[in-house]
Amino acid sequence: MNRQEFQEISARLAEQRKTFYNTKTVIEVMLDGGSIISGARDTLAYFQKEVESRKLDNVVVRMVASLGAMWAEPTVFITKPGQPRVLYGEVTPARAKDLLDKFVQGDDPCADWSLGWLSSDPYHYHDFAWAQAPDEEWRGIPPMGRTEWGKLQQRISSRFCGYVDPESIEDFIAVGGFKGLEKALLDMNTQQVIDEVKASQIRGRGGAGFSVGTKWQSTHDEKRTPKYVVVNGHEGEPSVYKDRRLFEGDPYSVLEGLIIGCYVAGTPHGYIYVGSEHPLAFKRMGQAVERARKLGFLGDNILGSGYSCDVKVIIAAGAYISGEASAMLFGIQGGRGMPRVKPPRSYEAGLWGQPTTVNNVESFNNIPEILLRGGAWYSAFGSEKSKGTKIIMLSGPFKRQCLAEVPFGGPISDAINIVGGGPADPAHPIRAVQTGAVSGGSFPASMYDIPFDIDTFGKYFCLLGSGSLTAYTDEQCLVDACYYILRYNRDESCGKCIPCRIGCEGLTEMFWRIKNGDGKESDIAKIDQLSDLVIEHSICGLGQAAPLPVKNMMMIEEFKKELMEHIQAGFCRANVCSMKHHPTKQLGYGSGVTADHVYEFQK
Amino acid sequence: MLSLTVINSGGGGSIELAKINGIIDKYESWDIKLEALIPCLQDIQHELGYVPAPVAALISERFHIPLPSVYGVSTFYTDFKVVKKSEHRILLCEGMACYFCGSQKLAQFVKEKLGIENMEVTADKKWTIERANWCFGACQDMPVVEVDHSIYTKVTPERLNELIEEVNAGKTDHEHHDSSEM
Repeated sequence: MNRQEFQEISARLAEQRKTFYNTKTVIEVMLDGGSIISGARDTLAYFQKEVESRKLDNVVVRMVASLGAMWAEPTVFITKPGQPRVLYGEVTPARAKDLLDKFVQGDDPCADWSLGWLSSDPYHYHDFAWAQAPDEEWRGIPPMGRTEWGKLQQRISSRFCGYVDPESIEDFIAVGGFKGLEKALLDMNTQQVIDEVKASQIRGRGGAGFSVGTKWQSTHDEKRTPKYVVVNGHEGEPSVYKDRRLFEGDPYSVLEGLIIGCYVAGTPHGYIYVGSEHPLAFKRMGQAVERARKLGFLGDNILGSGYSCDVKVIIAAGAYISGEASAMLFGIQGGRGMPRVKPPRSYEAGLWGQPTTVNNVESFNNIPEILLRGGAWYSAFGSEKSKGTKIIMLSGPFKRQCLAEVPFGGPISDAINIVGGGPADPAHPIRAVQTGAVSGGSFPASMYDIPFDIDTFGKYFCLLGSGSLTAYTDEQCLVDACYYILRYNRDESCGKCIPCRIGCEGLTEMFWRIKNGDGKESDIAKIDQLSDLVIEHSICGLGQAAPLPVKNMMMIEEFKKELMEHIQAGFCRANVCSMKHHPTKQLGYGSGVTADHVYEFQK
Repeated sequence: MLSLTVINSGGGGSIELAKINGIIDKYESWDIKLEALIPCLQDIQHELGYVPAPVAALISERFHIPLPSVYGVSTFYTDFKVVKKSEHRILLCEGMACYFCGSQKLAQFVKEKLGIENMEVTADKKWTIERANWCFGACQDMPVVEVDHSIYTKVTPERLNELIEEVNAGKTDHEHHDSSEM
């Protein structure tokens, strides 16, 4: 395929897509790992069966990937010709029947079940911010940009998730896919691409937050060949599922970003490393690579540019630690995925000892759009040092557990109270929120005005990292949470370096004692000291991040008070820790007993 | 090359050699055999439920990778098992949200009912329980439990009890979602 052919195909498919939505009634069931667990396959099968048996000729049932509205899975879009594309939540087969009767065959849009409406064209939204579109309410159904969940969202990285069928390359081309690649390969030289990425000031989205442009420049400048470019899609930690959603929802954008990365590094070798916990992500990504190869987006002389490239999709094999960049490279090499001491950095000696660029899935996903619109466009969003947008994942007792994408810089209360909708049960307000899943601390309610920004988070021993936020209410105990995180890191430590292997074990044991009512006041100093030691001397980012929740607990007054209550009074506010060895256990908690009662009792 | 058609797995059962060779054949075309090691072990694990020592030796011979390296890899990653532990496995999601909102109770329940804690096996080799130290990505349906590759959502101790009883009684026709499809 040369450039002209690509442009023709692209225009033709775009036209087809438009006609499709304007002439057919389209039912789109969202299918991804999470919604399948909620029963989306049954919904899809039901629609297919009913549409066939009712002989609805003008109705098409198809699949798209999820938008991220997880609290309402299974979700379905229904679009009638010339009408808005309405999103419905909790569409079980029973509700699917009602929707067919009332809306598809009737004329009642069932506004009560809808979550909002969204255009079928992602570019309908200026800068991908849903709230920017001048949309109006339609028969009682608000546009997505006016809903609580949608008003803050700006979906650059996940721009095609929920719009396209992830198993169809034609659909991806129809919404404007591969145009970034076209521009990079045919209109720009490698240095221009790097300059554009640098201008966007985008930082790595895997956790460390290192500048993507700088990384690309370093690999580009290395003289040794062969070089490699790797997409790190191994996310093994709990409460984090953005990479898999991108693989499942928009695998072609990942691929497009990767090919651009390979072009910049001047190498024909690209790798995509997918976690084995996500079989659907692996399947869809593998399919995407095959189909792209068939159409000539991979292979020799891509789009007539003279540049050739091929990509391998490699499956991981579990083990959280092998998501660390240097460990991941050992994983691809068929070895034990253990991190190594740096330097040398990956760009000097990465895969097979050769210069390698390693970036997160989300970073790669942003690149095509950055090239199309320019780095300056991207750097206009976000805060001073953290540019652009970030996918966040909300889990735990939120009203809305979901995946969303918001610009950096806003207060975290926006994410908690607007995107997440506050607590699931108003009787149990969200008193703290955990950041970065198992590698960061928490923010108490009094600090919800902290801006959503990589560096600000770092000051409080919190890690923005993957963008995961987990809610704590009065039913969760912070000490228990700390124990959980330490235990997790102990279990997942590869054991290569001693501070992490033994330090995490020691910290876990101390917290176990505290949970059981055996804590001593002298433990505080020991915990603090041991945490420092692990942070200073571990060789990889995961070991260095393991004790962050402990340091965070020592730093924030409210959390420290809770820890002291456990140690001094044997009192667990949330009544989660067993405290079975503590003398005050006999008081019995839960019946209005507070820490003050316990202190009183001890006197 | 081994000339047998069946090899002893060491655990009392036997493994069809043709099937294993068929899996290894798929990776014959990979130019770098080390890169093929983990995908190949994934297939073996999926097919047999573990990576028996004779199969590891076969892979080592055909890919020209030292046996200790194959063993090293298959013991490092959580996906691979080198011994067949038990007939059935309960995989408890211990992602953060699940841990805080229910899976501790489930772990406690399994301890009471079957007498096993994380990674332990019952005396009759029938059950084992493991923690899923990752995220199923379905936090809306917490807590999530996988029993023998079928995923169940919003599981209570009572429901888990039913599931265990059903498997014990040999019933497998209940509604479920296959974990290899998500």
